[in-house]
Amino acid sequence: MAGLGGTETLGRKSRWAILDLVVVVYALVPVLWIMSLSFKTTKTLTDGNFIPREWTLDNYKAIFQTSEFVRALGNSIGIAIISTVIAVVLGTMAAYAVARLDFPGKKALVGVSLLVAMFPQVSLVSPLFEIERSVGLFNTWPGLILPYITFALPLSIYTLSAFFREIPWELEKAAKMDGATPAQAFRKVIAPLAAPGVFTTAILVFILCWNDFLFAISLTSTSASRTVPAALSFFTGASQFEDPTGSISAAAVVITVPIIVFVLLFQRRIVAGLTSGAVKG
Amino acid sequence: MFVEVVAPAPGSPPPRAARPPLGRRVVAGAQPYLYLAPALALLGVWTYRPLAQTVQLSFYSWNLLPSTPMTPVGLRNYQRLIDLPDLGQAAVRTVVVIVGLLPFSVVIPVLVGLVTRQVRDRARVVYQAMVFAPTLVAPVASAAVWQWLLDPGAGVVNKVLGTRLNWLHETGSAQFAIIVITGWSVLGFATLVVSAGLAGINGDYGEAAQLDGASRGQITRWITLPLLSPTLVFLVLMTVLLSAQWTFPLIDTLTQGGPARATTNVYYLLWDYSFHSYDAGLGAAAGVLLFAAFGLVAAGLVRLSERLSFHDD
Repeated sequence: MAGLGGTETLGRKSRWAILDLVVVVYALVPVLWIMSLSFKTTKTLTDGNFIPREWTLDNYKAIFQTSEFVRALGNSIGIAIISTVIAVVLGTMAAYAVARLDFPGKKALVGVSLLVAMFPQVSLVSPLFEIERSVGLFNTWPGLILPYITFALPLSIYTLSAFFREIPWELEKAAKMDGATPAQAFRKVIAPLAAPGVFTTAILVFILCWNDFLFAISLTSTSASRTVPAALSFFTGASQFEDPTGSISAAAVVITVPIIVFVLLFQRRIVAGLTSGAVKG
Repeated sequence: MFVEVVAPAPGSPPPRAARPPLGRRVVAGAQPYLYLAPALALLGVWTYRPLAQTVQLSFYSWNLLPSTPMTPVGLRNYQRLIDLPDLGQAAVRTVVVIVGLLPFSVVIPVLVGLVTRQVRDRARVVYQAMVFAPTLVAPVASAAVWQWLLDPGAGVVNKVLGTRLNWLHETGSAQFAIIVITGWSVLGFATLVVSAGLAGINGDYGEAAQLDGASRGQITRWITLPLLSPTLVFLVLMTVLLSAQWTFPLIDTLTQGGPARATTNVYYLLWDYSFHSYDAGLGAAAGVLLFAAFGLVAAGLVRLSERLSFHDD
């Protein structure tokens, strides 16, 4: 390869390198910018410097002293975790049936479940608001948890069933032949094989619930159940007379960094999950 | 039902041995449904029932207050929607958003995916991680950071480009800004999907073609891209169906559909109808239309994809 048209390859390579660079800058500058803002003092907030001239943790201290934010963070964590656990458990059951069992009406039922992923959610928000108001779920934790589980189910069933199809289930039989009880066969053979898929799905579902904005602003009205994304849009700063920029950027970092760290730690698994799930379908 | 039970002849083996008892057979037959039941019940109660209610509500006039009655108005809500210019304009803006997002959700990810495929494993993972990061930023947080980047006074974008635009508050640029911000958050996800799709392509075809003297461009054009087509169709489908949904948090925090409705697409219009205008019937009718339109487009695209996709089977 080297001898043939070396200059052309070089030119081409540098063109590709420039494209890569532009994409990385476009992707990363805003992320780094928000971090930089969150460490700036009130005075230097608008100086346009990429690296803060004076570093401070005041923005973080301020938001953690704001009950509005602390409540919202608690709501976000609780609601997202509960929704994720339930959606993954129900998704696992459904995906097991879809991937391993054959039964009449399977195609239709799977279709009915997965179709929901294509629903424009906004067309359901106002009837959900009605229902929740009439049964007293409006502005409560379950009022957000139930729609979150529901809208996470298609994703969860889809990804999990793709995973489950890849599991060599004969191993279960083999383990039983070797004298394992069904419980042992499940715990020692099937569960470890299924774990990466379940785990990936859980992360995806968690992000879905954690970042949701539409339901969060439509189905809540006070800090009793408002999650961070919804609270942020009402956030006016630690005190009324202060520019909220610093506080909002600190809050944005607080809700973003855990997810980024989480995903980076398990990136390989997530990529594997997407490979066998979303794409091969 | 009356079934005559023949007493088993003495000495003959009980029929149970040949076939499991009815009870157990019913349980075994019902098992898949039992596994699916909780998920289906939730989907029924929280998506299909509200959907049916939306359809019903679209034939009524109601201001969302429990104390006031709903009055049936037949097709008048639909009539009003079609007469009002809002919906048509919002539909056009939605198409603009979808077309505007395709470079970010399909074209650039494919280019980046093809390039990074030739990069070493380690470097590729780092690169993917960097590009993927924006996808994880909560939309409200990205709205906040872009608001400062696009600030007419101290914003970096104006400084770098040497412009003095008030990006989010001018009719000409607001829609463009929304597309670029949405594209920013979608790009990483799409790149990851493309890389996953490329990883699933068997390298033997390319190697065989190379031995036969095909250039890299030819291999990409005639082998890689056709084999990647299921992934591409998936991304196009997602873009068409979800673009308006992706823009919603940004529009709500940054422009509220303005200036002069320049960023009001069907998704935001619908939300506006349902929650700001207190006209539930009109909102519901718009919801039904949106639903039907998206359903038709989705069905069409799925059809098309079945015809276009080359599968590596």
